[in-house]
Parts: sequence; C-alpha cells; structure tokens
Amino acid sequence: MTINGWLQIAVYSIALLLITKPLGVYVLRVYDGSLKWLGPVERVLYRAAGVDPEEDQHWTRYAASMLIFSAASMLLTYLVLRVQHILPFNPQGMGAVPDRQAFETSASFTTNTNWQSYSGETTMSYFSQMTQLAFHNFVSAATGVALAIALARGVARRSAGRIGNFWVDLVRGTLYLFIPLSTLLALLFVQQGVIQNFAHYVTVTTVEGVKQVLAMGPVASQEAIKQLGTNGGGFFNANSAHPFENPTPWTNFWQMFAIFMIPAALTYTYGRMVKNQKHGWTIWGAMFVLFIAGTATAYWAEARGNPIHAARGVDLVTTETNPGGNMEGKEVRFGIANSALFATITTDASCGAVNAWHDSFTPIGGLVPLVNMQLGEVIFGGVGAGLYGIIVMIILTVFIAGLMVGRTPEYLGKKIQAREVQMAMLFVLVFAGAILLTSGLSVVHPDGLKGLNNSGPHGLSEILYAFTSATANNGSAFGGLTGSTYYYNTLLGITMLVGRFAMHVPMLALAGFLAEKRSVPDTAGTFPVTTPLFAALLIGVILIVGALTFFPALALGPIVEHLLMQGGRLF
Amino acid sequence: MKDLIYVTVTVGFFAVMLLYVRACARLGERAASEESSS
Repeated sequence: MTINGWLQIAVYSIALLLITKPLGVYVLRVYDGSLKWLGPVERVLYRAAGVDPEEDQHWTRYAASMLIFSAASMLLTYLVLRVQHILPFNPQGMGAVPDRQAFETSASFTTNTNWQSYSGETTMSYFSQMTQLAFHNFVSAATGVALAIALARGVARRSAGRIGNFWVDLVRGTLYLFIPLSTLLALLFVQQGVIQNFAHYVTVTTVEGVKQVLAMGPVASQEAIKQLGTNGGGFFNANSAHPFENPTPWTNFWQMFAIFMIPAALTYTYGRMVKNQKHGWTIWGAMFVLFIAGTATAYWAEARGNPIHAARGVDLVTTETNPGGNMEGKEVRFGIANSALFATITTDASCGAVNAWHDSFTPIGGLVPLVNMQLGEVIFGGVGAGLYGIIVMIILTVFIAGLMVGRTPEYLGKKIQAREVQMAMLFVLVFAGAILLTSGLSVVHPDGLKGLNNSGPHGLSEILYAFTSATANNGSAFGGLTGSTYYYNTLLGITMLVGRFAMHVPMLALAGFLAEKRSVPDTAGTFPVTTPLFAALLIGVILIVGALTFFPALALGPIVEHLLMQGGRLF
Repeated sequence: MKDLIYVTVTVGFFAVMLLYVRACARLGERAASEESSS
C-alpha cells in the first residue's frame, strides 16, 4: 500500500461527505414535489398514461403498479432483443439475440442487475442498447429510489396507511434526478475521451502490423447512467476497464463517485423526511465504517500480492516504476488502489461495473466484493436499494435491542411488532435462500459444473459469486464462469427476478404497515438511534446476519483458497 | 417454442408476485388482529 493510494481513497471519501447534504436536499425536493420546472413534461406523461398524480396509494396498489410496470417493460425488452435484426440503428448487422440470452438480459436490466452473458459490441444493436438497455438503466434506478422513498414515507407518516404514488415517484426520479445528472456526467466523459457516435466499427492496423476492429457506439451517454443508476452493464464486454468507457484516472474517479453519490445523499434525505437528521448521519457513519473496512481489506490483499508469484521471481515491491502487489487482471492506468477501491464500491452498491477482473484478485481481495454483496449491499448500496436494505436492518437492530431489555421495540416513534418483523425477516430469508439454494443446486448439477473454468474452492467461488451477484442485483461477474448456457441464463434470470421483486414486496408491506401506525412518544426506555452505540449495534447486526448465513460457503471457497495459496497451491 | 416458454415464465412470475402481495397483506392483517386482541 502507498501513501498515494490512501490519499486517493481519502479524497474520494471527503468528496462523498461533501456531496451528501446538497444532493440529499435536492433529492428531497424531487420527491416532495416542490421542484416543478419540468411540470409540463410531467403532466403530458401522466395524461398519456392515464395516471392520476394526486392519488396517494396504499402499499398493495403501489406494489402492484411497480410489478405491472416491470413486467410490461421486461416483456417489451425481450421482444425487441429477439427482433433487433429487423430494427433500425444496426450498422453492424447484429442478429437476433438468442432466446435464453434475451430472457436473462431483459430480466437483468429490468431488475437493475445488468449481468451480461454476452459481449455488447458483438451482440447488441445500437437500437437495443439505446431504447431498451438504457431505458431500463433509467427506470430501474428510478424504481429503486421510489421504493426507498416510499419506505421512508412509511416511517415518517402517522396513521396514514398510504405511501405515495409509484407513477409520480418513477417519473419525477427519472426527469429531475437521473436525466439531468447523467447528462452532465456524459458531457464530462466525452470531454475526457469517452466515445459517443453512431459510426461503423473501425478497422485499424496495430503497431505490430495486425488488423484490429475497434468497436464504436454511443458509449458516454450509456456510461453515465450505468454508473449513476448503479446499473453496471457495460457497453463493451470489458466494462469500465475498456479505454473507450473509462479512459483516464479522472473518469475513473467520477465513475466511482457517481456510484455512491445518490445512495449517500439518500441518507440525508431520509433524515430530513423522518425529521431526525442525526439519525440520517448515523446511518451514513455506519455505512462509511463498513466501506472503509472493505476498501482497506481489498487494498491490503492486492497490494500484498500473491506469495506464489514472489516465489517465481515476480517483484511484488512497489517502486516508482513498479506497481508491485497483484497486478493480474488490473489496468496499469488505474493501479492497485483504484482497482481495489472500484471493486469495493461497485459491490457495496448494486452497481456491478468493473474496472478490473475480480477473478484475478487474491482470494481475500476477491472475498471482499463477495461479502459486500452478501451483506445485502447496504453499504451505501444501490440507488434506493441501499437505503431500504439498511432500514430493514435497522428494524432488526431495534428488535434485537428491544429483546435485550425486554420491551416492545420502537423506531422513530413507531412500535415494531410482529408483522413488521415478519416482513423484515422475509426480506432477509428470500435473499439468503435464493443465493444458497441456486448455488447449492449448481455445484451438484452437471450443467452447473460444466460452466466452470477452475476447480476446487475457486470454482465454488465462481458459482457462489454468480448467484450472489444475480440475487443482490449487482451484476458484476467474478469471471471464470461460462454463463452463456441455457442452464445459467435461465436460472440466473429467475434468480434476479426473485432477488428483486420477492424482496420488494415485503419491503413495501413493511412501509405500509409502518405508515398505518400511530406515533408513540419517546421515553427513557426508548433505544436511541442517533448514537455511536446504535451505529455499532447496526454494524454488528449486518455482519452477524451476513456471517451466520454465508460463512460456511465462504469458508469452503475463498477462505480455504487463501490458506492453500499460502501453502503454494493454486486453482 | 422456447420464446413461448420464456414469455410464460415471465408472466407467471409476475402473476405469482401479485398473489404474494395479497399474501403479505393478509399476513399483516392477521398479525395486527392478533396484536390487538392480545
């Protein structure tokens, strides 16, 4: 590890702290309706869709609206991918996307996962990229924030039973938040050299005299929302490691910053909504502690390198001319610190963009992204998903704290009773069940094992990572697993749907149940939710729930691989 | 043929999710009535 590396991590952290309040205030104004400069556009959209923007929906209606919108947009994307060969903006003459990949891709982008079992530059037409994949990049992100705001309303409102209007939240999030911010970011990317065109692919002669085809396309516009919406699906197969997607350290910084800026701001928005700003900052602090712990672990593991490389004469010592450590699978222009930081951020959030190959990280370096996702991506998390995930964890925390002192738990003036805890537990169990059952099936099913490129614990990590990434709607690939088969395309697609919607429903139910409750005054026995003790307990609950659930699988995968690596064995 | 299967799986999944909404609502109502009667 170097001072330079830590300085870059420090600059990133300070920038994140500074953006939290101003953007949090802006997000609050987006969803409380006080921003109106796009009012005419809003009204046209509501009228065209036959939506009454004044309707305040019960949680069941809010959930049904979200499900119907997601189903319709997923089916449309499936259709377009299957017939893209007869649609315009296809200068390379891409054929129809195969049925299994069309299903997985439409599920993947609808659920904000953006797992890709294809190479964008050899599979998707510009039309598919721009009208379907980019569309989902915006609306799946706006859906995530809408649901987090709905849950915040549930906590904030008293005896209301209503949590807002899904259609209004979706439209306002897209119009006022994601489109303006991604436009600004896309311009910055273009200025830095990210390409943006509709040109035919270019054939060039390399310095070795070899002919090479360079893929083109409208990359910058896709790249901006890919990061801001914590989507992560790259225009190119190499994702943010590709020089046309992420050409400079400056674009790399903005890509990482774009992932966390809205999730961090939402903690401030939440504090304002529930009229307890200190609680919002306490959540921010708990998230930040976990973020730094993950970053430090990944950076340490990658900077330390692989002892087997050292035994074979590779110089692992960092000097002015040698990055040292484990540079396998990393871009020289980013180095170890920015690769470890990117990997941590992208899996703390549900982004899934990568600027290095996680499969080539050391076992402990690869463990960090895996654990980040298995903790439920609540460390700032996906846009919206991070906030509602951590609110569920807070419900469990105050419940456990209540059990400790033998009184009915309360959270921000609401009594937490059986049905709230049932919904919180359903949320946690669906997540764990989807990952472990599908991973378990794949390590015994012949079609599951056929996709492996590595044996032993590394092979287990590849399978576990794939289903963790799918369920958590992250979408980053560990690499090393051939996912483009009927087995993996279908099972991963279904897992993504379960990991998104089967968790959204109990979370919205929780919002509805909380919204119906009367407020109870704080007493001397109320567990305070603004103290370092609360933050520590929250971190403890997140780690214990994650560790108890996934530790056995992790022990058989990356942990045993790390121990065997120390003994000189690779897989 | 496989297109039909994938479309059916998709529609079926979301139909199950709508039933899941009802199931969660009923679970909540039952828990609330148990709480108020205890």
